[in-house]
Amino acid sequence: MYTAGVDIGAITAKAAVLKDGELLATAIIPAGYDRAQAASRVLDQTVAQVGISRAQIARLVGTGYGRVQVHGADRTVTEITCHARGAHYLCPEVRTVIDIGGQDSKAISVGADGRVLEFVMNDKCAAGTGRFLEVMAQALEEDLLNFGMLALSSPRRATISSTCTVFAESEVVTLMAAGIDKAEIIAGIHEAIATRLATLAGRIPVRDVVMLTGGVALNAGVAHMLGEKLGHSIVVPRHAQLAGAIGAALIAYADLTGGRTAE
Amino acid sequence: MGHQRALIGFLTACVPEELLHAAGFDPVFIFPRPDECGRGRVHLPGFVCWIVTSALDQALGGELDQLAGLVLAKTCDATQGLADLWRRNVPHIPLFHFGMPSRLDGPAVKSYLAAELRDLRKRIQAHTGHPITDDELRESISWCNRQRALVREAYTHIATCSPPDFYATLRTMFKSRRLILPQPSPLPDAPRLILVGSALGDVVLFEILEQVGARVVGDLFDLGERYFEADAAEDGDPLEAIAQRLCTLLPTPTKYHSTKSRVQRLLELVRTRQAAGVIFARQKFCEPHGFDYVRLARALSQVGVPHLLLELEQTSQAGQLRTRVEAFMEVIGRV
Repeated sequence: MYTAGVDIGAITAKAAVLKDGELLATAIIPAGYDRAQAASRVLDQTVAQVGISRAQIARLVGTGYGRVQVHGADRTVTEITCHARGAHYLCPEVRTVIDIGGQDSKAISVGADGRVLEFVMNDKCAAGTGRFLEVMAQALEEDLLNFGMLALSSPRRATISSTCTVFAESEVVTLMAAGIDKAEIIAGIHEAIATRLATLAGRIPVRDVVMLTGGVALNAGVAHMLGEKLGHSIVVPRHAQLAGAIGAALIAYADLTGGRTAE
Repeated sequence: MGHQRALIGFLTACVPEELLHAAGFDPVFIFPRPDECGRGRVHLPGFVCWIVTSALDQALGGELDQLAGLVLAKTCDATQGLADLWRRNVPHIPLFHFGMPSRLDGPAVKSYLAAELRDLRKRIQAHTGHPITDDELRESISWCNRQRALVREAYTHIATCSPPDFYATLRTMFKSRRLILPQPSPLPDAPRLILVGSALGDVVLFEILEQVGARVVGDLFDLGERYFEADAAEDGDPLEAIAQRLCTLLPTPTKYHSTKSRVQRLLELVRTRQAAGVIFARQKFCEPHGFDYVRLARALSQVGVPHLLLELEQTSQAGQLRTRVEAFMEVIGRV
């Protein structure tokens, strides 16, 4: 039996297909302007990898910011519940999930069964989200993919405000004008986002194992510095960015196999 | 009551409405507006709640000019600051500011508040040029008691009425002064929630709760159920009776009562209304409710009741709010 999950985030669309509750295939594409179309395309790509048709998907769950735009979804579940479930699948010992997406970040306390115990979400401000890193990488003319490694290459970290993306950007411009080493500025930027995230996570009990999910999990600098701030080592699984889509597909599977306990 | 009565605004939870009614006014809560013109922010820093900022914003824009006055009890720092700003910047709408003791029981409390109300009566009389007699006060006490009794009775049906039926009932009640309950219709099984906060500026949260299929079955709002939990005595000194009533209500977070506990009241509400969870709908930057939240949330956690904190602002994003509320419903429903 095939089930699928589609996670439409602020920046990317992700899909996962499971067979009998086991992960078979995934895909990630930019979400773009037309979220409904992105949802359809990313699901098509995933089922093509498996070599099945969409009609063979027994149940589809939509999640993420654009969850209501996943046409054909049998139901929607928030990304908070899906990331917890996906993280639990990727590492059953996980008890804390920090999901950093393009415009939201969440800290989730997870029970032994992968269910959400409590959660906190960032304010509407972009500090502490992927957008913060994007703006900074642009200001420093650096590739986002190298950004985290550059941060870890500097022995020193410039001091940058962690409170506001717009203010932080003007601080970065000042540091650039003062001739401060680029890697040092980048290290400071990562420290700022890590401080912001640690403050968010501090509002729930942070227990091992702590896992980073969402697109920003790919950034080694954030993972390392957030670990420092929290005093916990941080696990970043290979499918960290897909935890939401995997969780959605798992919930779809649980729905069909009686694992569903409530709407 | 057929003729149009003058309107008098209020913002704080302590309103001597009987006195205002006897003076010929209808007290109205100044709802914050979702948009902002920036006039209020010229005078108030960003960490003052939107209810207070928006009231000043509306007053400076001339939108409250139909008000005969503004009544403010001494409660939180933000409203204290507003009182000073109002006198200076909105001189054409008279301010009636009165002392509300922080402690609500104790030997001198009632007499202090009664003295404040006597002073308030004098100031309103001087402003309107009409005396407010004790008989008029007693009539207004009796009228307000009847209104509260109707609201109280309506609220006993809040858990068994669909939200549209409930609000239709309240609307009819305020027009006809009679309570006509709708035929009970079978209600879908929905998670029952209690809301906690000072006051809400708009209906966005209620719309989201209805969309996700939750039902509000009780509240601990400053301007919520506590407001009609007690009546004023219809005999004796009327101002002392009004003072006594204000001291009898469940204390708001800026007030203290040696035997009335907000924690106990919340736990009792959760138990008696069979609530599945509690949502703290806090106005962002409201310090009194920020301190209050810690005690209430801890007590709920100790008895295993799920709770969610929402911080509301004038431009609270509906999308994010909805995700939080939906995720909370999933926690309650153990998805």
